[in-house]
Amino acid sequence: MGDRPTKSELLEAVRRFLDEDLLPELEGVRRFHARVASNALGIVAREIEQEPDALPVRYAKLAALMGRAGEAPSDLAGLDAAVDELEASLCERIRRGDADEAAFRAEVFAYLRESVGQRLAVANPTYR
Amino acid sequence: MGVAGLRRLVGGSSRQVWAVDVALGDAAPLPLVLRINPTPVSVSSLTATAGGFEGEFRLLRAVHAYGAPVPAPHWSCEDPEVLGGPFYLMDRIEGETIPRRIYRAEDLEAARGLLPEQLGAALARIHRADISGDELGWLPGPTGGRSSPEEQVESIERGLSASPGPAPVLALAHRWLARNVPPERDRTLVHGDFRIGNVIVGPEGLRAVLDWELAHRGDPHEDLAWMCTKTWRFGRVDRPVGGLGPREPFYRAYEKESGRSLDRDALRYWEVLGSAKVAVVWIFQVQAWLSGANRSVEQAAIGRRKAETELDLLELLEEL
Repeated sequence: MGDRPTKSELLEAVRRFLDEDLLPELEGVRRFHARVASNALGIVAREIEQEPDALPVRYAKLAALMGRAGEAPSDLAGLDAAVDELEASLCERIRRGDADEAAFRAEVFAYLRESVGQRLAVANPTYR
Repeated sequence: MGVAGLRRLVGGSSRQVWAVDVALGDAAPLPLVLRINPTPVSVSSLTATAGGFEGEFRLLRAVHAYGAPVPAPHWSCEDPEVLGGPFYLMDRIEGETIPRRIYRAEDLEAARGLLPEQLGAALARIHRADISGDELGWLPGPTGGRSSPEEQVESIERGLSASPGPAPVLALAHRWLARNVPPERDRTLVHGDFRIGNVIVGPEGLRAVLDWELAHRGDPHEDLAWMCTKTWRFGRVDRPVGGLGPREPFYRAYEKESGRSLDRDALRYWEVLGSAKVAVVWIFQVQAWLSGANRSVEQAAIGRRKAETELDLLELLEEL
């Protein structure tokens, strides 16, 4: 373990400062923006917590969908870049009409459900 | 003439909105709203009325004359020397605009029941405006022989290309939208942002329709479906009409008032297109933040709402 507070603890400290000290002092647009800023910190905190478990699962499903064999990247940055690259190819296949065909379409939807579920759990867990 | 009670109202990011009480002679002061452009208009084509500020005033005057519930417009002035920018004055209508409060306020309980039908009837009156003459003929509309939905599908494609990262859900939606374009049966005035959040509500229901910046000539189904687009249900997803209630009373009130029969399949199409448009607007907003054009925290944070419209679109596409 590195120095304390950890990155998550520091985020929590800043978030409390925004919510408990700053927000009650603000009105109108600035109050609204302070709330948005606090929510943004919440997104970062959830991403730090969830990404190490979630992203490898997303990558594995996407790699299977796109027929990519071989070792998965070993770190989060590598996984992130690989997901972007594979999703760009997926977009190309969708544009070509490959996902109009029933079997591949079902697989695409299954992957996108996983992907959207993961990202919504980070960005806005109360959306549905 | 006396002027009192000047205060800035929240909202209107590119234009300033002020409350002001104006007394003429000995008459009781009129509660008014002042809309002013402090600097020349430089917003993107997505958010600007083609006729500019003067156009917005003329539009309000026209729909007011057709009996649509809008704040009565009073005076406009294009001379920037007077107040530092072009401005106009309209009636100040009190009431609630914030969706969360419209859903919860105790004194709005009856209004919540009345709103779907009132919204349908009001929209029918808005769509009655004559768009063929000088008064509103300048409003933007489809060009190059394209239909209104065809043109909007092209804007989804532009959003896809502008996306800072891959957007496979939007790509799927675009593919379906491009292959299932409904015929455009009518062309009317379209408000362009007709939803909860852009209307003023009182205990008796709908008081006024606001935010006319996106008005254009197009397919009337667009406005009906936008009201029902999932984003504008503000979390109350099982109540399609703006988070308030089921679709049919809203549709039927519109049909009765307009004499036009609505195409239910087209309405479903326009709801999918609505969610795709929300995704595209958010893409452009994030792009503006990434490019440094707009550095507000709200603009940055909206990027992560992408997942919300993607869930909406996935659900819609799976139901087809």
